[in-house]
Amino acid sequence: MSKIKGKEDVKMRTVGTALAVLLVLVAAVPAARAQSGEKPELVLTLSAQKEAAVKGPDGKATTKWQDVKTGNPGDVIRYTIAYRNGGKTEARDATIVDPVPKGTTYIPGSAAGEGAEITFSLDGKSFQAPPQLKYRVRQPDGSEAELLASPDMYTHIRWTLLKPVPSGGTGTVSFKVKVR
Amino acid sequence: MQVRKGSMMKSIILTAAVFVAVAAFFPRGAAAVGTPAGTAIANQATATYQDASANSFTALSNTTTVTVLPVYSVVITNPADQSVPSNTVAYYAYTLTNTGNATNTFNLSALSAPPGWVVTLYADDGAGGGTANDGVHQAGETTVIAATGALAADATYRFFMGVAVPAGTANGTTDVTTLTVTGTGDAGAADDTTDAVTTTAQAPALTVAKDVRNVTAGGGFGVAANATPTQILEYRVVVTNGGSVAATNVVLSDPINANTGFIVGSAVFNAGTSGLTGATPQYSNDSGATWTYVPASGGCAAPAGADYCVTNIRWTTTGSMASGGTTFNNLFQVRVK
Repeated sequence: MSKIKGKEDVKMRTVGTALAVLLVLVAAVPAARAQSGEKPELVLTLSAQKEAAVKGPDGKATTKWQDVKTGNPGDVIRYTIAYRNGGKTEARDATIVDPVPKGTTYIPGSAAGEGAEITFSLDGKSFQAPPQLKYRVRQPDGSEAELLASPDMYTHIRWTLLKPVPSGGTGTVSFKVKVR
Repeated sequence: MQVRKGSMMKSIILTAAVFVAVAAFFPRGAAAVGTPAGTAIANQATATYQDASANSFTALSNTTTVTVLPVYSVVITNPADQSVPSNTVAYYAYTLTNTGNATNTFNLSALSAPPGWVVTLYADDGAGGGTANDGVHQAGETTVIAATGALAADATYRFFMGVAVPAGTANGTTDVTTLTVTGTGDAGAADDTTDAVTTTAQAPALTVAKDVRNVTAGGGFGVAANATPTQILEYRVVVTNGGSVAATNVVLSDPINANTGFIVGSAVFNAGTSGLTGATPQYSNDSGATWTYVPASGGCAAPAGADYCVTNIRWTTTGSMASGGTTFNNLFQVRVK
Protein backbone atom coordinates (compact mmCIF):
# COMPACT_ATOMS: atom_id res chain seq x y z
CA MET A 1 0.00 0.00 0.00
CA SER A 2 2.74 2.40 0.94
CA LYS A 3 4.47 1.78 -2.40
CA ILE A 4 1.39 2.72 -4.38
CA LYS A 5 0.94 5.80 -2.27
CA GLY A 6 4.52 6.79 -3.02
CA LYS A 7 3.94 6.51 -6.73
CA GLU A 8 0.86 8.67 -6.53
CA ASP A 9 2.86 11.30 -4.75
CA VAL A 10 5.37 11.32 -7.56
CA LYS A 11 2.67 11.66 -10.15
CA MET A 12 1.09 14.53 -8.30
CA ARG A 13 4.42 16.28 -7.99
CA THR A 14 5.11 15.86 -11.69
CA VAL A 15 1.75 17.30 -12.52
CA GLY A 16 2.44 20.17 -10.17
CA THR A 17 5.76 20.94 -11.88
CA ALA A 18 4.14 20.90 -15.29
CA LEU A 19 1.51 23.34 -14.09
CA ALA A 20 4.17 25.60 -12.67
CA VAL A 21 5.99 25.66 -16.00
CA LEU A 22 2.78 26.60 -17.75
CA LEU A 23 2.21 29.37 -15.25
CA VAL A 24 5.71 30.69 -15.88
CA LEU A 25 5.09 30.79 -19.60
CA VAL A 26 1.80 32.53 -19.27
CA ALA A 27 2.28 34.82 -16.32
CA ALA A 28 5.93 35.21 -15.41
CA VAL A 29 7.07 37.36 -18.30
CA PRO A 30 4.71 40.29 -17.80
CA ALA A 31 5.04 40.03 -14.02
CA ALA A 32 8.85 40.20 -14.22
CA ARG A 33 8.63 43.25 -16.44
CA ALA A 34 6.27 44.99 -14.05
CA GLN A 35 8.57 44.47 -11.09
CA SER A 36 11.83 45.16 -12.89
CA GLY A 37 14.62 45.75 -10.41
CA GLU A 38 12.65 44.30 -7.53
CA LYS A 39 13.10 40.62 -8.41
CA PRO A 40 15.44 38.01 -6.96
CA GLU A 41 18.27 36.99 -9.24
CA LEU A 42 20.28 33.88 -8.52
CA VAL A 43 23.71 33.75 -10.17
CA LEU A 44 25.23 30.28 -10.46
CA THR A 45 28.96 29.71 -10.87
CA LEU A 46 29.95 26.16 -11.70
CA SER A 47 33.50 24.95 -11.33
CA ALA A 48 35.09 21.59 -12.16
CA GLN A 49 37.98 20.69 -9.94
CA LYS A 50 40.43 17.87 -9.44
CA GLU A 51 42.42 17.05 -6.35
CA ALA A 52 46.08 17.66 -7.12
CA ALA A 53 49.22 17.18 -5.07
CA VAL A 54 50.77 20.51 -4.16
CA LYS A 55 53.36 21.72 -1.69
CA GLY A 56 51.85 23.52 1.24
CA PRO A 57 53.25 26.74 2.74
CA ASP A 58 55.27 24.64 5.17
CA GLY A 59 56.84 22.72 2.30
CA LYS A 60 54.90 19.54 3.09
CA ALA A 61 53.09 17.69 0.35
CA THR A 62 49.35 18.15 0.51
CA THR A 63 46.42 18.04 -1.84
CA LYS A 64 44.31 20.87 -3.15
CA TRP A 65 41.24 21.04 -5.35
CA GLN A 66 42.20 22.90 -8.50
CA ASP A 67 40.20 23.88 -11.57
CA VAL A 68 40.71 21.45 -14.43
CA LYS A 69 40.10 21.46 -18.14
CA THR A 70 41.39 17.92 -18.80
CA GLY A 71 41.03 14.57 -17.09
CA ASN A 72 41.92 10.91 -17.39
CA PRO A 73 39.49 8.01 -17.14
CA GLY A 74 39.21 7.18 -13.46
CA ASP A 75 39.84 10.74 -12.30
CA VAL A 76 37.57 12.14 -9.62
CA ILE A 77 36.10 15.53 -10.52
CA ARG A 78 34.31 17.69 -8.00
CA TYR A 79 31.66 20.02 -9.35
CA THR A 80 30.87 22.97 -7.13
CA ILE A 81 27.92 25.25 -7.78
CA ALA A 82 28.22 28.56 -5.96
CA TYR A 83 25.02 30.58 -5.90
CA ARG A 84 24.45 34.19 -4.96
CA ASN A 85 21.26 36.15 -4.95
CA GLY A 86 22.24 39.30 -6.83
CA GLY A 87 18.65 40.56 -6.88
CA LYS A 88 16.86 42.89 -4.49
CA THR A 89 14.35 40.44 -3.07
CA GLU A 90 14.63 36.98 -1.63
CA ALA A 91 14.53 33.89 -3.85
CA ARG A 92 11.97 31.41 -2.63
CA ASP A 93 11.56 27.69 -3.26
CA ALA A 94 14.90 27.61 -5.01
CA THR A 95 16.06 24.33 -6.49
CA ILE A 96 19.33 23.66 -8.26
CA VAL A 97 19.55 20.79 -10.69
CA ASP A 98 22.77 19.52 -12.24
CA PRO A 99 22.98 16.54 -14.55
CA VAL A 100 25.68 13.96 -13.91
CA PRO A 101 27.72 14.76 -17.05
CA LYS A 102 27.92 12.19 -19.81
CA GLY A 103 31.16 10.22 -19.54
CA THR A 104 31.13 10.33 -15.75
CA THR A 105 29.59 8.37 -12.90
CA TYR A 106 28.25 9.86 -9.70
CA ILE A 107 30.29 8.94 -6.62
CA PRO A 108 27.91 7.65 -3.93
CA GLY A 109 27.49 9.94 -0.97
CA SER A 110 29.43 12.80 -2.52
CA ALA A 111 26.55 15.24 -3.02
CA ALA A 112 26.70 17.98 -0.41
CA GLY A 113 24.87 21.23 0.26
CA GLU A 114 24.18 22.99 3.53
CA GLY A 115 20.53 23.72 4.11
CA ALA A 116 19.49 21.72 1.08
CA GLU A 117 17.51 18.55 0.64
CA ILE A 118 19.33 16.37 -1.89
CA THR A 119 17.43 14.08 -4.20
CA PHE A 120 18.38 12.12 -7.28
CA SER A 121 16.82 11.17 -10.57
CA LEU A 122 17.18 8.43 -13.11
CA ASP A 123 15.57 10.43 -15.91
CA GLY A 124 15.85 14.11 -14.98
CA LYS A 125 12.11 14.32 -14.38
CA SER A 126 11.20 12.71 -11.08
CA PHE A 127 13.51 13.11 -8.11
CA GLN A 128 13.68 10.88 -5.07
CA ALA A 129 15.89 10.23 -2.10
CA PRO A 130 18.08 7.14 -2.83
CA PRO A 131 16.00 4.50 -0.99
CA GLN A 132 13.00 5.28 -3.18
CA LEU A 133 14.93 5.32 -6.47
CA LYS A 134 13.74 2.30 -8.32
CA TYR A 135 13.53 1.23 -11.89
CA ARG A 136 11.62 -1.51 -13.64
CA VAL A 137 12.96 -4.24 -15.87
CA ARG A 138 11.23 -6.96 -17.76
CA GLN A 139 12.56 -10.33 -16.71
CA PRO A 140 13.15 -13.27 -19.05
CA ASP A 141 9.87 -14.86 -17.92
CA GLY A 142 7.97 -11.74 -18.99
CA SER A 143 7.22 -10.43 -15.53
CA GLU A 144 8.42 -7.04 -14.42
CA ALA A 145 10.74 -6.51 -11.50
CA GLU A 146 11.33 -3.35 -9.54
CA LEU A 147 14.99 -2.95 -8.70
CA LEU A 148 16.73 -0.47 -6.47
CA ALA A 149 18.80 1.92 -8.55
CA SER A 150 22.52 2.00 -7.86
CA PRO A 151 24.26 5.39 -7.65
CA ASP A 152 26.02 4.87 -10.99
CA MET A 153 22.59 5.05 -12.62
CA TYR A 154 21.82 8.55 -11.32
CA THR A 155 21.45 11.03 -14.12
CA HIS A 156 20.57 14.20 -12.23
CA ILE A 157 21.06 15.65 -8.76
CA ARG A 158 18.68 18.21 -7.24
CA TRP A 159 19.27 20.45 -4.27
CA THR A 160 16.08 21.89 -2.79
CA LEU A 161 17.04 24.89 -0.64
CA LEU A 162 15.03 24.68 2.55
CA LYS A 163 15.12 28.41 3.26
CA PRO A 164 14.71 31.40 0.93
CA VAL A 165 17.95 32.96 -0.27
CA PRO A 166 17.93 36.58 0.87
CA SER A 167 19.18 39.38 -1.32
CA GLY A 168 22.97 39.10 -1.29
CA GLY A 169 22.79 35.62 0.21
CA THR A 170 25.24 32.96 -0.97
CA GLY A 171 25.78 29.25 -0.69
CA THR A 172 27.42 26.29 -2.36
CA VAL A 173 26.41 22.80 -3.27
CA SER A 174 28.70 20.16 -4.71
CA PHE A 175 29.07 16.58 -5.87
CA LYS A 176 31.79 14.34 -7.20
CA VAL A 177 31.96 12.14 -10.25
CA LYS A 178 34.43 9.67 -11.64
CA VAL A 179 35.47 9.95 -15.28
CA ARG A 180 34.59 6.67 -17.00
CA MET B 1 -10.76 -8.64 -33.00
CA GLN B 2 -10.29 -4.90 -32.87
CA VAL B 3 -10.13 -4.90 -29.11
CA ARG B 4 -7.59 -7.67 -29.10
CA LYS B 5 -5.43 -5.89 -31.60
CA GLY B 6 -5.51 -2.81 -29.46
CA SER B 7 -4.42 -4.62 -26.33
CA MET B 8 -1.60 -6.32 -28.20
CA MET B 9 -0.28 -3.00 -29.40
CA LYS B 10 -0.39 -1.67 -25.90
CA SER B 11 1.72 -4.49 -24.56
CA ILE B 12 4.26 -4.04 -27.35
CA ILE B 13 4.60 -0.35 -26.59
CA LEU B 14 5.02 -1.11 -22.91
CA THR B 15 7.75 -3.63 -23.63
CA ALA B 16 9.54 -1.19 -25.87
CA ALA B 17 9.48 1.47 -23.18
CA VAL B 18 11.01 -0.88 -20.64
CA PHE B 19 13.69 -1.92 -23.08
CA VAL B 20 14.60 1.68 -23.78
CA ALA B 21 14.97 2.32 -20.10
CA VAL B 22 17.20 -0.70 -19.59
CA ALA B 23 19.27 0.03 -22.68
CA ALA B 24 19.82 3.56 -21.45
CA PHE B 25 21.37 2.27 -18.25
CA PHE B 26 23.56 -0.57 -19.39
CA PRO B 27 26.00 1.26 -21.69
CA ARG B 28 27.03 3.41 -18.76
CA GLY B 29 29.12 0.72 -17.09
CA ALA B 30 29.57 -1.82 -19.86
CA ALA B 31 32.41 -0.27 -21.88
CA ALA B 32 35.72 -2.03 -21.32
CA VAL B 33 37.76 1.08 -21.93
CA GLY B 34 37.34 4.51 -20.49
CA THR B 35 35.69 7.46 -22.11
CA PRO B 36 37.35 8.04 -25.51
CA ALA B 37 40.24 10.48 -25.52
CA GLY B 38 39.15 13.92 -26.66
CA THR B 39 35.63 13.58 -25.28
CA ALA B 40 34.45 16.89 -23.84
CA ILE B 41 32.64 16.37 -20.55
CA ALA B 42 30.36 19.38 -20.35
CA ASN B 43 28.28 20.39 -17.35
CA GLN B 44 25.80 23.17 -16.63
CA ALA B 45 23.63 23.63 -13.55
CA THR B 46 20.13 25.09 -13.53
CA ALA B 47 18.34 26.90 -10.69
CA THR B 48 14.64 27.62 -10.47
CA TYR B 49 13.17 29.91 -7.85
CA GLN B 50 10.31 32.26 -7.15
CA ASP B 51 9.80 35.74 -5.87
CA ALA B 52 7.29 36.84 -3.22
CA SER B 53 4.54 36.99 -5.84
CA ALA B 54 5.19 33.37 -6.91
CA ASN B 55 6.72 34.45 -10.21
CA SER B 56 9.11 31.73 -11.34
CA PHE B 57 12.61 32.33 -12.61
CA THR B 58 15.30 30.15 -14.07
CA ALA B 59 19.05 30.71 -13.92
CA LEU B 60 21.74 28.82 -15.77
CA SER B 61 25.31 28.49 -14.61
CA ASN B 62 28.35 28.77 -16.81
CA THR B 63 29.30 25.59 -18.62
CA THR B 64 32.42 23.73 -17.58
CA THR B 65 34.20 21.46 -20.00
CA VAL B 66 36.68 18.77 -19.03
CA THR B 67 38.42 17.14 -21.97
CA VAL B 68 39.39 13.49 -21.54
CA LEU B 69 43.08 12.84 -22.08
CA PRO B 70 44.41 9.75 -23.86
CA VAL B 71 45.30 6.78 -21.68
CA TYR B 72 47.35 3.99 -23.21
CA SER B 73 47.21 0.37 -22.10
CA VAL B 74 47.15 -3.09 -23.62
CA VAL B 75 46.16 -6.63 -22.72
CA ILE B 76 47.13 -9.86 -24.46
CA THR B 77 45.88 -13.37 -23.93
CA ASN B 78 48.20 -16.03 -22.55
CA PRO B 79 47.97 -19.15 -24.69
CA ALA B 80 48.85 -22.49 -23.11
CA ASP B 81 52.22 -24.11 -23.65
CA GLN B 82 52.36 -26.62 -26.48
CA SER B 83 54.09 -29.90 -27.25
CA VAL B 84 54.46 -30.58 -30.96
CA PRO B 85 56.36 -33.15 -33.03
CA SER B 86 59.79 -32.26 -34.31
CA ASN B 87 59.82 -30.72 -37.78
CA THR B 88 56.45 -29.01 -37.19
CA VAL B 89 55.43 -25.52 -36.07
CA ALA B 90 53.63 -24.73 -32.81
CA TYR B 91 51.18 -21.89 -33.50
CA TYR B 92 50.26 -19.82 -30.45
CA ALA B 93 47.05 -17.83 -31.01
CA TYR B 94 47.13 -14.39 -29.41
CA THR B 95 44.44 -11.75 -29.02
CA LEU B 96 45.68 -8.25 -28.29
CA THR B 97 43.18 -5.72 -26.94
CA ASN B 98 43.79 -1.98 -26.95
CA THR B 99 42.48 -1.29 -23.46
CA GLY B 100 43.37 2.39 -23.67
CA ASN B 101 40.91 5.08 -24.65
CA ALA B 102 42.75 6.24 -27.75
CA THR B 103 43.89 4.73 -31.02
CA ASN B 104 47.28 3.05 -30.66
CA THR B 105 49.70 0.99 -32.73
CA PHE B 106 51.53 -1.93 -31.12
CA ASN B 107 54.85 -3.27 -32.33
CA LEU B 108 55.23 -7.03 -32.01
CA SER B 109 58.42 -9.04 -31.72
CA ALA B 110 59.29 -12.52 -30.54
CA LEU B 111 62.50 -14.09 -29.34
CA SER B 112 63.32 -17.72 -28.75
CA ALA B 113 65.65 -18.55 -25.90
CA PRO B 114 68.33 -21.20 -26.52
CA PRO B 115 68.13 -23.52 -28.37
CA GLY B 116 66.88 -20.61 -30.44
CA TRP B 117 64.20 -22.12 -32.66
CA VAL B 118 62.87 -19.98 -35.49
CA VAL B 119 59.95 -17.78 -34.37
CA THR B 120 57.66 -15.94 -36.78
CA LEU B 121 54.55 -13.84 -36.19
CA TYR B 122 51.64 -14.34 -38.59
CA ALA B 123 48.42 -12.41 -39.05
CA ASP B 124 45.18 -14.28 -38.34
CA ASP B 125 43.94 -12.86 -41.64
CA GLY B 126 42.26 -15.90 -43.14
CA ALA B 127 44.59 -15.75 -46.16
CA GLY B 128 44.37 -18.70 -48.50
CA GLY B 129 40.67 -19.30 -47.93
CA GLY B 130 40.71 -19.64 -44.15
CA THR B 131 38.60 -17.78 -41.62
CA ALA B 132 40.06 -14.52 -40.37
CA ASN B 133 40.37 -13.86 -36.63
CA ASP B 134 39.28 -17.32 -35.57
CA GLY B 135 42.38 -18.16 -33.53
CA VAL B 136 42.98 -21.25 -35.65
CA HIS B 137 46.05 -21.18 -37.86
CA GLN B 138 45.43 -22.31 -41.39
CA ALA B 139 48.08 -23.28 -43.90
CA GLY B 140 47.39 -20.21 -46.03
CA GLU B 141 47.92 -17.76 -43.18
CA THR B 142 51.52 -16.88 -43.94
CA THR B 143 51.41 -13.07 -43.75
CA VAL B 144 54.36 -12.13 -41.57
CA ILE B 145 53.66 -9.20 -39.26
CA ALA B 146 55.65 -6.94 -36.94
CA ALA B 147 52.92 -4.55 -35.74
CA THR B 148 49.16 -4.43 -35.25
CA GLY B 149 48.59 -1.32 -37.30
CA ALA B 150 46.41 1.46 -35.92
CA LEU B 151 44.01 -0.09 -33.42
CA ALA B 152 41.05 1.89 -32.13
CA ALA B 153 40.24 1.97 -28.44
CA ASP B 154 38.75 -1.34 -27.29
CA ALA B 155 39.59 -2.96 -30.65
CA THR B 156 41.31 -6.34 -30.80
CA TYR B 157 43.99 -7.77 -33.08
CA ARG B 158 44.52 -11.50 -33.49
CA PHE B 159 47.73 -13.12 -34.61
CA PHE B 160 49.87 -16.21 -34.23
CA MET B 161 53.33 -16.78 -32.92
CA GLY B 162 54.79 -19.73 -34.83
CA VAL B 163 57.61 -21.60 -33.10
CA ALA B 164 59.28 -24.03 -35.52
CA VAL B 165 60.70 -27.17 -33.92
CA PRO B 166 63.66 -28.26 -36.08
CA ALA B 167 63.67 -31.67 -37.69
CA GLY B 168 65.43 -34.30 -35.63
CA THR B 169 64.96 -32.50 -32.32
CA ALA B 170 65.12 -35.00 -29.50
CA ASN B 171 61.97 -35.88 -27.64
CA GLY B 172 61.37 -33.57 -24.65
CA THR B 173 63.62 -30.72 -25.79
CA THR B 174 62.10 -27.40 -24.67
CA ASP B 175 62.28 -23.81 -25.91
CA VAL B 176 61.02 -20.69 -24.18
CA THR B 177 59.73 -18.04 -26.57
CA THR B 178 58.92 -14.52 -25.42
CA LEU B 179 56.47 -12.27 -27.23
CA THR B 180 57.01 -8.56 -26.67
CA VAL B 181 54.29 -5.99 -27.32
CA THR B 182 55.39 -2.37 -27.42
CA GLY B 183 52.74 0.32 -27.79
CA THR B 184 53.74 3.41 -29.71
CA GLY B 185 51.20 5.67 -28.01
CA ASP B 186 52.97 5.96 -24.70
CA ALA B 187 56.69 6.55 -24.31
CA GLY B 188 56.54 4.60 -21.03
CA ALA B 189 55.64 1.00 -20.40
CA ALA B 190 51.92 1.56 -19.79
CA ASP B 191 51.07 0.07 -23.17
CA ASP B 192 53.80 -2.57 -23.26
CA THR B 193 53.47 -6.22 -22.26
CA THR B 194 55.08 -9.63 -22.77
CA ASP B 195 54.12 -13.27 -22.72
CA ALA B 196 56.34 -16.34 -22.62
CA VAL B 197 55.42 -19.83 -23.79
CA THR B 198 57.33 -23.08 -23.54
CA THR B 199 57.35 -25.36 -26.54
CA THR B 200 58.28 -29.01 -26.03
CA ALA B 201 59.49 -31.15 -28.92
CA GLN B 202 57.83 -34.46 -29.41
CA ALA B 203 59.68 -37.30 -31.15
CA PRO B 204 59.66 -41.07 -31.17
CA ALA B 205 62.42 -42.43 -28.97
CA LEU B 206 63.25 -46.04 -29.85
CA THR B 207 65.40 -48.24 -27.70
CA VAL B 208 66.63 -51.67 -28.77
CA ALA B 209 67.41 -54.57 -26.41
CA LYS B 210 68.80 -57.85 -27.62
CA ASP B 211 69.05 -61.16 -25.78
CA VAL B 212 69.74 -64.76 -26.64
CA ARG B 213 68.97 -68.36 -25.65
CA ASN B 214 70.47 -71.71 -26.50
CA VAL B 215 67.73 -73.62 -28.31
CA THR B 216 69.66 -76.93 -28.44
CA ALA B 217 70.61 -77.00 -24.76
CA GLY B 218 67.33 -75.39 -23.67
CA GLY B 219 66.94 -72.43 -21.29
CA GLY B 220 65.51 -68.95 -21.23
CA PHE B 221 66.62 -65.72 -22.83
CA GLY B 222 69.47 -63.83 -21.20
CA VAL B 223 72.08 -61.29 -22.09
CA ALA B 224 74.57 -64.16 -22.61
CA ALA B 225 74.40 -67.86 -23.41
CA ASN B 226 77.00 -70.60 -23.71
CA ALA B 227 77.09 -72.74 -26.81
CA THR B 228 79.25 -75.31 -28.52
CA PRO B 229 79.65 -75.69 -32.29
CA THR B 230 76.61 -77.05 -34.17
CA GLN B 231 74.22 -75.81 -31.42
CA ILE B 232 71.32 -73.54 -32.38
CA LEU B 233 70.99 -70.08 -30.78
CA GLU B 234 67.91 -67.86 -30.95
CA TYR B 235 68.26 -64.09 -30.78
CA ARG B 236 65.42 -61.83 -29.64
CA VAL B 237 65.46 -58.11 -30.42
CA VAL B 238 62.93 -56.01 -28.45
CA VAL B 239 62.23 -52.48 -29.72
CA THR B 240 60.47 -49.96 -27.40
CA ASN B 241 59.08 -46.53 -28.38
CA GLY B 242 59.47 -44.50 -25.21
CA GLY B 243 58.88 -41.23 -27.09
CA SER B 244 55.78 -39.06 -27.11
CA VAL B 245 54.74 -39.58 -30.72
CA ALA B 246 54.35 -42.58 -32.98
CA ALA B 247 57.19 -43.85 -35.15
CA THR B 248 56.72 -44.85 -38.76
CA ASN B 249 59.02 -46.50 -41.31
CA VAL B 250 60.72 -48.39 -38.53
CA VAL B 251 63.50 -50.59 -39.96
CA LEU B 252 65.50 -52.91 -37.73
CA SER B 253 68.69 -54.44 -39.07
CA ASP B 254 71.08 -56.88 -37.43
CA PRO B 255 74.35 -58.45 -38.63
CA ILE B 256 74.78 -62.20 -38.41
CA ASN B 257 77.88 -63.04 -36.40
CA ALA B 258 80.57 -64.54 -38.68
CA ASN B 259 80.93 -67.52 -36.35
CA THR B 260 77.29 -68.43 -36.88
CA GLY B 261 75.05 -69.22 -39.81
CA PHE B 262 71.47 -68.11 -40.36
CA ILE B 263 68.82 -70.81 -40.04
CA VAL B 264 66.62 -70.56 -43.12
CA GLY B 265 63.02 -69.59 -42.29
CA SER B 266 63.71 -68.76 -38.65
CA ALA B 267 62.91 -65.03 -38.82
CA VAL B 268 59.77 -64.18 -36.82
CA PHE B 269 58.10 -60.79 -36.27
CA ASN B 270 55.84 -60.21 -33.26
CA ALA B 271 53.94 -56.90 -33.41
CA GLY B 272 53.43 -56.93 -29.62
CA THR B 273 51.80 -53.71 -28.38
CA SER B 274 53.36 -51.58 -31.13
CA GLY B 275 50.37 -51.37 -33.42
CA LEU B 276 52.58 -52.17 -36.42
CA THR B 277 50.72 -54.04 -39.13
CA GLY B 278 53.57 -56.27 -40.26
CA ALA B 279 57.23 -56.65 -41.11
CA THR B 280 59.01 -58.11 -44.07
CA PRO B 281 62.38 -59.78 -43.42
CA GLN B 282 65.08 -59.10 -45.98
CA TYR B 283 68.56 -60.54 -46.30
CA SER B 284 71.94 -59.40 -47.45
CA ASN B 285 74.92 -61.52 -48.53
CA ASP B 286 77.23 -58.50 -48.94
CA SER B 287 77.23 -56.93 -45.46
CA GLY B 288 74.20 -54.79 -46.13
CA ALA B 289 75.10 -53.34 -49.55
CA THR B 290 72.14 -55.06 -51.16
CA TRP B 291 69.05 -56.68 -49.65
CA THR B 292 67.92 -58.96 -52.45
CA TYR B 293 69.52 -62.22 -51.33
CA VAL B 294 67.14 -65.11 -50.84
CA PRO B 295 68.42 -67.60 -48.21
CA ALA B 296 68.60 -71.23 -49.26
CA SER B 297 69.37 -74.37 -47.26
CA GLY B 298 73.05 -75.32 -47.63
CA GLY B 299 74.04 -71.94 -49.02
CA CYS B 300 77.78 -71.24 -48.99
CA ALA B 301 78.53 -74.85 -48.04
CA ALA B 302 76.38 -74.72 -44.91
CA PRO B 303 74.81 -77.82 -43.39
CA ALA B 304 71.23 -78.52 -44.37
CA GLY B 305 68.80 -75.92 -42.85
CA ALA B 306 71.41 -73.20 -42.55
CA ASP B 307 72.74 -70.60 -45.03
CA TYR B 308 76.24 -69.31 -44.39
CA CYS B 309 75.90 -66.72 -47.18
CA VAL B 310 73.59 -64.48 -45.08
CA THR B 311 75.62 -61.63 -43.56
CA ASN B 312 72.75 -59.36 -42.38
CA ILE B 313 69.05 -59.54 -41.69
CA ARG B 314 66.59 -56.66 -41.51
CA TRP B 315 62.89 -56.09 -40.93
CA THR B 316 61.07 -53.30 -42.73
CA THR B 317 57.91 -52.72 -40.75
CA THR B 318 54.59 -51.43 -42.03
CA GLY B 319 52.17 -49.23 -40.14
CA SER B 320 52.82 -46.93 -37.21
CA MET B 321 54.47 -47.75 -33.92
CA ALA B 322 52.51 -46.07 -31.14
CA SER B 323 54.18 -43.94 -28.46
CA GLY B 324 54.06 -44.51 -24.75
CA GLY B 325 56.38 -47.46 -24.31
CA THR B 326 54.90 -49.92 -26.81
CA THR B 327 57.11 -52.77 -27.99
CA PHE B 328 57.56 -55.20 -30.83
CA ASN B 329 60.16 -57.98 -31.17
CA ASN B 330 61.92 -60.02 -33.80
CA LEU B 331 63.35 -63.49 -33.43
CA PHE B 332 65.86 -65.36 -35.59
CA GLN B 333 68.01 -68.42 -35.15
CA VAL B 334 71.63 -69.17 -36.05
CA ARG B 335 73.81 -72.30 -35.99
CA VAL B 336 77.16 -72.03 -34.27
CA LYS B 337 79.82 -72.90 -36.85
